[in-house]
Amino acid sequence: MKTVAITSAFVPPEWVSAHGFEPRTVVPQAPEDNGLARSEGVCSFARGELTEALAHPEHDAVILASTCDQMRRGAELFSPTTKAVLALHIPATWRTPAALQGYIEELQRLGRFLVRLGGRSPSPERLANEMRRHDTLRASLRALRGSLSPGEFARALIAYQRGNPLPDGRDAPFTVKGPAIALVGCPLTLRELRLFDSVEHAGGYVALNATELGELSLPAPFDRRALSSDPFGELATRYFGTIPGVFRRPNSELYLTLGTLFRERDIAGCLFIRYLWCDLWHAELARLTEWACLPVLDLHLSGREDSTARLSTRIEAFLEILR
Amino acid sequence: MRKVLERLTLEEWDARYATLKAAGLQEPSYGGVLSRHLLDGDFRLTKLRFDSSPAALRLWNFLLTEEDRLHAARSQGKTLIGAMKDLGTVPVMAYAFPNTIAFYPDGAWWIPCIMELSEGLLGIADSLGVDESFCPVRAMLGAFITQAHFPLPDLLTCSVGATCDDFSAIAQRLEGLGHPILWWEMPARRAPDLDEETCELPGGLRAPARQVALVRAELTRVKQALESLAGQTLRDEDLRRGIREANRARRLLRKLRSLVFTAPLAPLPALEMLIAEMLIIHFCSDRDETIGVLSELLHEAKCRVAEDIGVAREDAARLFWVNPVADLRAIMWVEDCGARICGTEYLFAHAIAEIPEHLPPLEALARTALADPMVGPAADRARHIAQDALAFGSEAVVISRIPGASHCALEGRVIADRIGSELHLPVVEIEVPPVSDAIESGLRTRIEALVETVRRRRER
Repeated sequence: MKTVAITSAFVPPEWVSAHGFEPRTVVPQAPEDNGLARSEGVCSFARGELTEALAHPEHDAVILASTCDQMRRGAELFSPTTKAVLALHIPATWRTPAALQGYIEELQRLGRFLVRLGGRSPSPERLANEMRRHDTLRASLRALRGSLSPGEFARALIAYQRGNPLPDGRDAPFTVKGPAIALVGCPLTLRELRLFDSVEHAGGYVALNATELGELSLPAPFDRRALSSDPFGELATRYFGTIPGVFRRPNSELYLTLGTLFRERDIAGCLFIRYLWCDLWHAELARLTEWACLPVLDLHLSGREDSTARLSTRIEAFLEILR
Repeated sequence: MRKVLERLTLEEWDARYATLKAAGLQEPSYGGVLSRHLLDGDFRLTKLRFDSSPAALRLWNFLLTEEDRLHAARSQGKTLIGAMKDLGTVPVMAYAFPNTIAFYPDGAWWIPCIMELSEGLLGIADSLGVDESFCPVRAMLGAFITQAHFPLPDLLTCSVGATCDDFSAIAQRLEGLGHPILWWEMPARRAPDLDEETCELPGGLRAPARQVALVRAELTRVKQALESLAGQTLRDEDLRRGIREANRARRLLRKLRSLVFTAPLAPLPALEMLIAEMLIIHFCSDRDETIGVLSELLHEAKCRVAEDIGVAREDAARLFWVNPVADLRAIMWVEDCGARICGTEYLFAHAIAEIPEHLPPLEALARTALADPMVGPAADRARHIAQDALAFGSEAVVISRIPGASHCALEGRVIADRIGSELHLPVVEIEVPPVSDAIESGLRTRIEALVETVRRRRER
């Protein structure tokens, strides 16, 4: 089965799988380039993601999304490529019927792309079945939170995104100790999962992974009745309407969602993750700090070999403030 | 006999002004001696050199009195629209209403340059968490905080979607500070798929009809907001009239550019041409006066061409300049280094193209907006630059990066590669901050090197 690489939470994997392909979200190993010439002003995560998406031998096609300028423009630097590439425009506005219609049209365009690639346009029943399957997987994933350590849960999320089996949960809940920390900001590479360990070693735990490919990237559960009567409409509505994005204008929903989760999970402090040259998240740092009324640590990653010791030292100092 | 005019310092302009007035110079109400703007804190003027024509005097006075004009409009009860990011679309609609003025808050990006950082706008942006890693348009944040430059508009609009991240982020920060914004979607322009209905856009571009439909729907929403503010419906015939007037200004600018870029001797300097082009985005808060200013500049250019008068030597290297400079002083170095501007692409080619008058007006505006070089692939922009560079006889290309601008990080290479492979022209990339005095020698050296390269290529 052909594999389609996805680089955005707004590209529904069930839409891809319903067309007969294996969807795989790209989570780069590390934010370093392996082929794209280093260029000042280019976010290192985007560099790593584009490199991996377009160079990975197992990816037969790549779906890019315009949720940031770097990704919108980055693909051009890889032209020409042997892979089939589709760039989707995910509307930044979200409160108007035109915005949702724009998203729907892009999903339809993705469908036509997948058919040209050799896939089959799914019947409503087939799509509904794929949606139920993914909804069930996501429910199983969510149920793992609390029984796995935060780092294990983050890895389980990545397993779902990559189409890999989920780990088994444990009978006993994971014992949380110390201050509850939220990670907010740019998506994490596999290498940056070390942040979870660093927080635990420093005496706290990550209670909320609100990085861009973290928990908030999952759509809300489908309405079962809508799923049966109009699966495609329900798919579009849930993905477009329930995933908050920093690129959204306005991005008020992100703060509403964070506010709810910060309260529910009793968040004591926030690690703000951003890559150098990621303007969208960088501009939110001051605003989030004002809004949160909590200690916020700015962890900016340059994409070079960010020393674990350096990051750990800063996290330790931060946790000491919170204890 | 060919004559090369010297540009004037501010002080020299004072003397010239006295001479012109004595000879009966007629000026608009905003006219006057240029040096008076120093009292407003426009200290950069002391480091610039200006074209010596009355047309240039009018241009500068027009630019430097925009804030006064906006405050006067506010006190007269006019509706003020702050049109952000779309560079040339919403103002066309706004000016179709009586009693409505549109301006471009993004234009605050030049305030740190013109006031030589004395106004503190960048420092305010820093304090709001928007530091120098962002585009100098961050000065806009400071301008909204201090309210010392333009009055707060009655409505702020901002195009988003296929727009640069730093501007989008800065605008979101602005909204977070309590300034409501009407956001409207600009999709990333793409080539139509084979099975898609296609629309022709100005500039020879094509886009899927559904993208045009989306932009049209969004502009309809903006129009409704304007109507609500104005308390009246904008009829199609009024919008058509507004489009015709906008096209009058655009045609003047196109003629001016064509003449200045192709004349044997450059009749107008790069600095005044940069200002002239920037007027077209929102008409510097006075559409009719913009037409007057451009008409006078065109007349001056024509006279100079007819009399074989220019501002650069005949053998000046012909440079194509990509992107506006954050420091006005930098564009002056073109003539200082023995070159002249023969072609520009200042991020708003769609604001210079004529809006189709044979189409329903909102459809026409939508197609023109979607032709924005910044919303499509860099390859489209590169192609357009290459076409113009060829048409204008450019011998080299300068890509002037805007510090912190997210698009500059990636598109420069695409443009340079295309220019190199298609036209085999030398290309240099420089980066110009709002006040570039400290790095002047380095930047000038690079332009000089490019000029030398052009000269050597001529000899071959």
